[in-house]
Amino acid sequence: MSGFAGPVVMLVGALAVPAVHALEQGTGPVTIGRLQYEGGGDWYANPSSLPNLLAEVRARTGIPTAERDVAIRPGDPALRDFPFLYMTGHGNVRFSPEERLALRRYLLEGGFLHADDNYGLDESFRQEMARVFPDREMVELPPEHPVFHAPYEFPEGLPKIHEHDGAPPQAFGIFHQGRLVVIYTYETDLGDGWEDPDVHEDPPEIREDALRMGVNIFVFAMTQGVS
Amino acid sequence: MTPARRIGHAVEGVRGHLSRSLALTVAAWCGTAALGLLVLAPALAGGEGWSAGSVGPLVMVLLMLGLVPGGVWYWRRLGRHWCAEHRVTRAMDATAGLDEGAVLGGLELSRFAPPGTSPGLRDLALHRVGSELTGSARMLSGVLGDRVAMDLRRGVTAFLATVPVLVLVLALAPARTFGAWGGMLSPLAVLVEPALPPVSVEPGSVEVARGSAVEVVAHAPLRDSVTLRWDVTGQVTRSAVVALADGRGAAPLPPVAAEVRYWIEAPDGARSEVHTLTPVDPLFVSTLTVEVTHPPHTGLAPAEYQNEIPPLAIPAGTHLRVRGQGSRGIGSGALVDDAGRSVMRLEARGTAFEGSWVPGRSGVFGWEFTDEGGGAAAVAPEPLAVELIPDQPPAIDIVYPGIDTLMPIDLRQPLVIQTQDDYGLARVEIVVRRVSASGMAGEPVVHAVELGGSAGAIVRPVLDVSAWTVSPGDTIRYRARAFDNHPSEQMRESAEFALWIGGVTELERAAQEELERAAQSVEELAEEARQAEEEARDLQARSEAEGERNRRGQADFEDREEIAQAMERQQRMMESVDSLQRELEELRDALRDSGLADQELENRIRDLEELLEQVAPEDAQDAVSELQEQLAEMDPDELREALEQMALDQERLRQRLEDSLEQFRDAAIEQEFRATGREAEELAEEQDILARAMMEGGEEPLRAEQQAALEAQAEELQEALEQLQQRLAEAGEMDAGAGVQEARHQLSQARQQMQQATQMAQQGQQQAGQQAQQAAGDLSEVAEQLGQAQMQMQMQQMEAIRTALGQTAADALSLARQQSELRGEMQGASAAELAAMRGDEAAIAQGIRNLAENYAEGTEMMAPGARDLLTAVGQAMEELDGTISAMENPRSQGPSPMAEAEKVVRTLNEVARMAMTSGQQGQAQGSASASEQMMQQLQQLAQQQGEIMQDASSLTPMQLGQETMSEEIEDVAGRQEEVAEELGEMSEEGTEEGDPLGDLSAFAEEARRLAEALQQGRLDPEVLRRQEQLFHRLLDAGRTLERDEESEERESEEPGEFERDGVNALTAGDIDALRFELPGAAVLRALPPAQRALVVRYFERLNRMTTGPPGSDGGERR
Repeated sequence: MSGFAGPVVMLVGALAVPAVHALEQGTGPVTIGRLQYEGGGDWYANPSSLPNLLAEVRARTGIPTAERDVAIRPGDPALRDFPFLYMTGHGNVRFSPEERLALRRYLLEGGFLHADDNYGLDESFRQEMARVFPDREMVELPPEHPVFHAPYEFPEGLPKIHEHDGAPPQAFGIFHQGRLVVIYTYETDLGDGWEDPDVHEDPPEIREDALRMGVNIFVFAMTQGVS
Repeated sequence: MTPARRIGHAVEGVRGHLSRSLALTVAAWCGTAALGLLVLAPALAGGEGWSAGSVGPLVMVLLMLGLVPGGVWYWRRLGRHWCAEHRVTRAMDATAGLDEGAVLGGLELSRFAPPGTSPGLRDLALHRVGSELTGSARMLSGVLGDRVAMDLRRGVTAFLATVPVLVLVLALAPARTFGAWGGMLSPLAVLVEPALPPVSVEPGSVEVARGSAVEVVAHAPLRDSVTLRWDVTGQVTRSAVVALADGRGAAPLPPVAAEVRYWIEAPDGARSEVHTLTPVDPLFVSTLTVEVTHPPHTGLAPAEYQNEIPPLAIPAGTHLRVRGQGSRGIGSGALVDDAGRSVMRLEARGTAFEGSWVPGRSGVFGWEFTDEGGGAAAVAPEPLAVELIPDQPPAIDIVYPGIDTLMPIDLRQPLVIQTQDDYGLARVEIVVRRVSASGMAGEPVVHAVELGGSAGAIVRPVLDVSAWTVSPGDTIRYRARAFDNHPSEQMRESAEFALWIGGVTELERAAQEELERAAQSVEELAEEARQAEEEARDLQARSEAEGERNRRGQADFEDREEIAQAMERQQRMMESVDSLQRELEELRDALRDSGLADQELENRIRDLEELLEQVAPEDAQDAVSELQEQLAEMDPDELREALEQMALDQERLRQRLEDSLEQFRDAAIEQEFRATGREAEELAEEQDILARAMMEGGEEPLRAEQQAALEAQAEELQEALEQLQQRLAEAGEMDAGAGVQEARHQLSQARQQMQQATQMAQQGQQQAGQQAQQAAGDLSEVAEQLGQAQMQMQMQQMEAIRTALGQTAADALSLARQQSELRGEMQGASAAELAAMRGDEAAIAQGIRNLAENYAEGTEMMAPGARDLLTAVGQAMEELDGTISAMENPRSQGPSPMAEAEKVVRTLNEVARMAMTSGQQGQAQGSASASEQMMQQLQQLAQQQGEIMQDASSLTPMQLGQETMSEEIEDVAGRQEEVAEELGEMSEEGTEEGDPLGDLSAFAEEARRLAEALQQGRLDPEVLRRQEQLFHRLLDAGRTLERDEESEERESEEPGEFERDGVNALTAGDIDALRFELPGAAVLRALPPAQRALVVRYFERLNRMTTGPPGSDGGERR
């Protein structure tokens, strides 16, 4: 009977409101898929960020999370095993048509993508999202959006973690049937804040803000859909 | 008597008279005073006489005793005043008519005659005075005596007046009077404390409700009665005698409207303390606040009600906090049930009270308050009505597929789970387990989806068991259970459903459905491409017309927008083709993973994939993407060129789709043929086994039942044949259709025989087996007939392809020959002659186009190397264009017309060669590498092993007779032996140790052992399990994985100051909100699964269509 106890991979999608959106990896702990893309950007940036975030999510919310993230390409059939995708980098992002289609299908069928601009990702990411979702606009999330209010309160919206151009931090989203399928955090660099403390030597309160916002995004992604 | 003596005697007499009168006067007044005290004594002593310890009697006695010395003293004082000599002598002078001072003078002379005084004169004078002083002393006292007499009369009068008063008092209250006088007789005895116990009265000084009647209780031990006295402010003191029993007695006081002082007095003079009854107004409790705190899991907001509390419908576990105020001090308070039992005790603090309660049941509960005196509240709040709403367990339904059904080929079954709860859901769990064909159940696997307190949810998981090791005949059983967010996590489960892992027959049929769906998709895409092509042509024509007018500005922008939209449409279609291609790939993978699909089907699907690759090649998609990106920078001429290019691309896309459509249809029909044939074969085999079991005898009712079941399958096969025949007719495959018609006829006969066999078996007739055997024979013929029909169809198709290839080769050679002749004529020709030859070149160009069309139509792109051949045709066309261009400008720097024509000749010859080669290859699929061949061989063996396993698993449930069962097991053993031999041969052919294909010798050995076990008649669960294990090992052979790298890190700075911009609130359009919710579970369950899926998709589409643009309000929800 070996192999029978393997994971049942669930793809949970949203249809009507309220709905649930969570892709989970079997009965084991959930992890984050780090999107590995072409185009030259360093998709592997901030290597300690996601393990730290997963640990904080586990410690602060009780959600069983894995120790490490898993690198995954958009066209990989195993994409559906991950309820939460994360992408970052400083450079160019490029998806093949197949990858765009796979990513679109993944997101529309219940997946979630957090793109975190590590400075330099913005232009190409927006172009790619326009190709993945030509029928949808990327809209800025107002401070009232629930992702900023639970479990941690960010009354003014997205916190600013690192300096890039002195611009205010912004969070953008793409929605499908009321469900946030993509969140794009711009001019804040949450991933840097999630890294080990000695990587960027952030003040503890800044790092705490980053982790809290990360926990908020993760928890929102796993629980959104209730109205 | 001498005058001197007479005078002295007279004066003394007057003085004595006066003194006596004064004494009597004082005595009269003293007597009056004494009588007055005696009259006063009863008044002071009271009705019961002097109270014990009273000083009254003593004071009275002392006063009376004091009257004597007082009177004497006063008498003496009066005497000195009124009896003074000068006063008395003056009064006597006046009375005797003497000169003033005469009596005094005479008196003094009598006492002492100054020296030198004549004794005679003295005597004379004395005589004269003495002679005048005649009469009584009373008379001589004159006015002075009158005055004293009058005082005496007054005193006597007062005394005499007092006596009747005293008599009257005595008469009116003799006991009291005597009691008082008695006390005066022993004042010291009264003064001291009585010897009897003290007396007391209850309730003491208290507050009582205004207007209430208070009963006092007197305690006076050893007395028979006491006197209760009370006085109300502003009124006289009242009393009442209270009879005592055993020293205790009670008496009511009048209703207390004002402050009342009261006490008791005992006959012995004992007296209680004086107490006060203070009237107070009754208690009013009308200020009440109830704070309702719902259990956290309900998510309900707290509520607060004041004074008029409505009936509370609250979830179980709700906490009520009550607080309020009374009009005065509250002694106690409670909320009581209808039986008067306290359910919530209220804590009172002064006029305030509070309490808390978690109701445990519904009911109407009353308020009870008492004031500090224990009086009930006159006004209390209205009773509190509480309806306790228990937290119901959640409801859950699996609405899709909602029935037991066949597991899809890819082992991924989408589910729609609908669940709801009154106070919110914690999670949904999906419990999945595998039950093998032999009935062994695996451990359930639980998958949880957190719902975070949602009141309801539609969860759409995909039940994916592709990673599980499943085998044909297995069943995946699944159910869902919902947990609400109540602390006790109430749970409810859905019904359990089954997903059957199909065998070969089901797999073939499923593959057919997938191919039909793919054909349908291609048809829709072709239709869309046709419309897109028309639009592109229209756009091109309009653009050219408008381009002549050299329009700029807005119109130019609109053109670009339309072109951009058309390009997007083209892109989408290409993506759809890609998507279809991937679906086919997934289907092929799923078939390969199942291990049951045959190689022919896999090859066919691979061909279709390649065809789709040609329909929308990657470079074409890239070209469209590039055009899209460059669109904004194009000038009008470039734009027109782009339009022309796009129209051309659209045309090619349509053409390729239309060309491939036939192949998809053919593939679907082929697969339908294959699936139907497989069903017929399987039915024939089962009928054969059953016939033999019938002939063996016994178990007639069971055999009748089994025969009826096979008959039902035959009916389904009949329908499948009808459908297949119809499809073949539509496809123009008349010969194959005729074969199917023949099979239908054969099947009808078989069904009649099966029907008769059923009846005979029911009646226990022995001929049933023979009848069933005939039916089995007919069914075998049906299967054979179908196989022949399919073979015939394939042969015809192959023949058509060979003919088309031959024609293509002939046409290509003919065109090459024409071109070669023209090339010869070109040598030494003038420019004018060359120009005249261009018409001939155009004719050759048309010929090449016709060749391509005829090839595509004739071979349906199924010939080997079709893509390369068409590429070569395209190259020939381009070279021909180059030839014509060179003929127009023979003196240009470019290649000469002859050189260009030579290229065309070479390319056309190559096309002819490719067509002939392709024809010779026939349907060959090209050479595979040794490892690929081994993989294919292993797949075939896995397929055989799967079929053996499936057949072996199905034997036990049939409950065959011993003989038949032995035969069947022997048959299975033989087939198992064949697999063992083939594996052994493969192993001997040599695979190295550690080869990804695995250790074939071990597989061969296991297959051999299984064959031996079967030959010994063993068909137990262990053998079945090992067969299954071998099947999966063969399938798993040769699978590999790959992995990627990561590295590096970056830096950035801490954030500085920044300003946030205002962000607009999200609209329903922004978030793509749904307008239409899915119908309820009951509605969905009433539909067949296929319709249910359609409904679900319909709503998705509907919501997509009706979701407003960004900025809209999203409209109302329905």
